[in-house]
Amino acid sequence: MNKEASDWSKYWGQASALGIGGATVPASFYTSQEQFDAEREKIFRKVWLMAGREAEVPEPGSFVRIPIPPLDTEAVIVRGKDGTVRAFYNACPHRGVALVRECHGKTGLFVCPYHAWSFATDGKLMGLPGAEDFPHVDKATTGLTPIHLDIWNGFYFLNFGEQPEQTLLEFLGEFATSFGDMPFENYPHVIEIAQDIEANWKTLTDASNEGYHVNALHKESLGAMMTTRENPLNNFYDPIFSGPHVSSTTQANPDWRPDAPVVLFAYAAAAYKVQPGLAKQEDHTHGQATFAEHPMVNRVGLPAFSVETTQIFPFSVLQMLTNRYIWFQYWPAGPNRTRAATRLYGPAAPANYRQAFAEAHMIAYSRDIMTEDTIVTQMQQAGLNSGGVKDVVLGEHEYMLRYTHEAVLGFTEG
Amino acid sequence: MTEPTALLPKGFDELAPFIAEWGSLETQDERYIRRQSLSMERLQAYYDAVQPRLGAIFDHLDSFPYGPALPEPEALLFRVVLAMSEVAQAVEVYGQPTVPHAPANHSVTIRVPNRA
Repeated sequence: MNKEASDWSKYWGQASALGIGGATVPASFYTSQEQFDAEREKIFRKVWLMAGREAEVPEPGSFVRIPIPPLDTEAVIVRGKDGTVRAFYNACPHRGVALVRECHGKTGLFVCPYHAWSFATDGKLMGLPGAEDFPHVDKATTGLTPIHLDIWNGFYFLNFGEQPEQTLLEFLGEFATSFGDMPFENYPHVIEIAQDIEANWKTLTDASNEGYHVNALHKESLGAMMTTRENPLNNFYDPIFSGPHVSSTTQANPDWRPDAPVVLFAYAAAAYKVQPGLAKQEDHTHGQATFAEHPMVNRVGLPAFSVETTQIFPFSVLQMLTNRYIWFQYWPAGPNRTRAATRLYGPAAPANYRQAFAEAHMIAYSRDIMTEDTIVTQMQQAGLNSGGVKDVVLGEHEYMLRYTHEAVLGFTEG
Repeated sequence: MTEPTALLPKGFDELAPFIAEWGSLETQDERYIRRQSLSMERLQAYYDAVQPRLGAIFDHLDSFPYGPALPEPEALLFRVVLAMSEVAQAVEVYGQPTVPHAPANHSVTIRVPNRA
């Protein structure tokens, strides 16, 4: 190892030096119904859940309906006439009908199809046919049941507690401020890769939060792009922590030069640069700030930066790349089941056919990498379910996983 | 399935042999599943025919405004060339049609969020 490399390696961080335990975790952490039930009640019904972008409901009356798999419920997110974004259970207070059926839309009034009770965009009951038959219903106090919603840096979070135990800013801790001006709004163009995965949600956050697997599982797709002689196991750099959340930096291989003809064509054709490892001055897009300039991204100044990986507890992983970001949502749907939504955010939609091709290529490439992860997590789940492994073993540089596991156990056993 | 005799724009006849496989597919997931169903020989034949023409194909397509009103020969050409987004993964990355260990007919939905 040369001197320069050893200089960077000092930023790797190690679980034991960071005071993070969890070198082993029981297989039941990923398999048992009891653990899942505890997570549902003590985490997913308690903490703020990072669920979407405010831009999904751009105008008064805009709404989206989103499933909340761990709680077997649905939320309707709607921007009211007053411009305020609110969330409601998708359930009519009359007979309980999940009244909103569209995935998205724009309306001034939600009307239940069963008996035509109607609700304003702030949830208030506006009308019920034959109101005289319901003298016991007070229109002023009857409406859709609200879900706590708050917004941070363009992301809306939901909280299903009766009364949240923390404000959203308290929940995010220092990251609320230090990541508070991360320029997500400069990346409004989004495509989602949606998959139902037969694996526990934590196998997926695990796969997002270490580099150890990159040069094995992703050998053909990412290995050469990411891996260097000095860091053959793709250790992450410079972990920082905020409450249950954690962030860490990944390098690219500065010597990697793509040579596959279609990759080169797609890179040249893209509406914005997508390859990792670019020097900062090459990366300006539309004259807007990129992630690469943000002080919380690549804090140690790796010369070939690839990704800042930020786990927002419990199930969101943000990957800030130089010039775009990826948001992994791993919604638990059962001990062995995850609804995964991988959102690719870029600065601009394609404006011509070659840019549309470049986007299709980037989607296929991203989906295939994600498939490598999702398939192996399903293989992992099968092995864990087999009873053949008592404990999962984690390495010193897998500290992001271990930190997250400790946070989970802090809730479920606390 | 679009008939193989459907017309491509003039000058792109060498793509005609691939219309039957790719010319009627509308979504990324349809193209992904088709890629998995074809032999490596067939994927390589497409790659060898189309890769050298990418620049010319998109020079032609981009002489039209981007949007839904593309004339049918160009729309067909675009559908056929979009297959390269999937074929290149098989040829340039994996050397096989599928992602390793993925199940047969692996399907993945691509969409705008909350627009299922």
